[in-house]
Amino acid sequence: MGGGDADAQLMLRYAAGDARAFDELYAAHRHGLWRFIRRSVQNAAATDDVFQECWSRVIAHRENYRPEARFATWLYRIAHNCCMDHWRKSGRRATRETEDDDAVAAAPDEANPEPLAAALEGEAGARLAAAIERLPEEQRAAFLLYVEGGLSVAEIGETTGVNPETAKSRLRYAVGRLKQTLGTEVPD
Amino acid sequence: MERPDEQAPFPREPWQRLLEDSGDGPPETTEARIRANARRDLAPQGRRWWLPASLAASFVLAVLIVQSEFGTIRRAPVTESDRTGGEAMEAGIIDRKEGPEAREAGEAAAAAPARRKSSARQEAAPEDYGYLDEETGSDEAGIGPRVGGPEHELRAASELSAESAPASVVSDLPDAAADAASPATPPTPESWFAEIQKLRAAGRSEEAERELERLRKAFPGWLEQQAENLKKEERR
Repeated sequence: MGGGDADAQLMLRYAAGDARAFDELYAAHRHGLWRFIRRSVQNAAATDDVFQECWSRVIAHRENYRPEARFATWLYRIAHNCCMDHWRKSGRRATRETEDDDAVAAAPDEANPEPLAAALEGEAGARLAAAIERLPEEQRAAFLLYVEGGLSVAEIGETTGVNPETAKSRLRYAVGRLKQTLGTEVPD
Repeated sequence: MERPDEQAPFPREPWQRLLEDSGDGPPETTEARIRANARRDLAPQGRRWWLPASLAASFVLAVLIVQSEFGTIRRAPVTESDRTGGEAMEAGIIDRKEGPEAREAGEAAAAAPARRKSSARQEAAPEDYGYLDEETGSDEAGIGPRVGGPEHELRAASELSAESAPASVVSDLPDAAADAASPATPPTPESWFAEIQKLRAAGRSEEAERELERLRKAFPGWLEQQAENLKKEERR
């Protein structure tokens, strides 16, 4: 993940017309953002669309960017909104956002046999990816924003529209589930 | 700007390493599209100068067309028929070689019937109309025949004949002569000749002679033919 100040400066340079600055920004965030979107929408074709839409918004709103927050926070907030839009369009989004945190934590794992099989057969990274896909959406979003986006708990809460305590709670529940699924391969 | 996350529930780096190992990434075509989009969006939007320019050019063209169309119709009576031949030549409005040449040779009136036929085919060439030369060739706008030329020119000429011709001549003209001046009914040589005889009978021999000369130019050979006919009648 690129440094906050450096990314903000790159974004400002791009807004001023420096195309190379965009290339550097894109190179720094492409993989993390792709994985975040890939694991959020859980659909290869949709991932491509949402990824492009996310960068299109970055490009379109470059002149509105203000380095008040870290660039990564801004970028992942856009990405999260793109995912939300995708869920809304596809009608897949659950209504759990209004539920309390304990209910979310207690929600059963969603049936997703394909990633589970990959997780059982693949390497640790693939197994982790499969396990992340099985997380409830709110926990998955919080975990991915934390790990891939490098967002703080407060930033996660701001991005997902919950208070920091709720965000922190979601993170804890997500890690607990992942540890449970991965067993000994869980990083310390 | 990276601030320590005091509330961090767990270290993120080991998880990041594991996820990066999965080797997932965007396809090259998508990346190329995004980079191209970023550059295209930066490219300065070309000012659409051609839009106002083409509108202005269209407007100017329309004005020119309207001026050329209506200007011709308006100018015709003013420059060619409103003035007598001498005045027009003096004013330099009618600057054509045919004017003086036709005045000297008297060809214009003689060529009028032929030009009347051709004018029907070539409406857009007012210079070819015989009456123009006839008028510019004459020293004053008389009551002579207005033959050859489009209808609107004839109408304008007839309207102006009353203004340009001497008041005495116009007032003394009988109805037949007035009819002769009218564009709708071009005078026959017979009616014209009858008016000349009336002028002569009224003692206006100079005018009669002048009209006779005009008749001779307008209808070459007609007087001679009439004379022949008269002789034949007398012989009989």
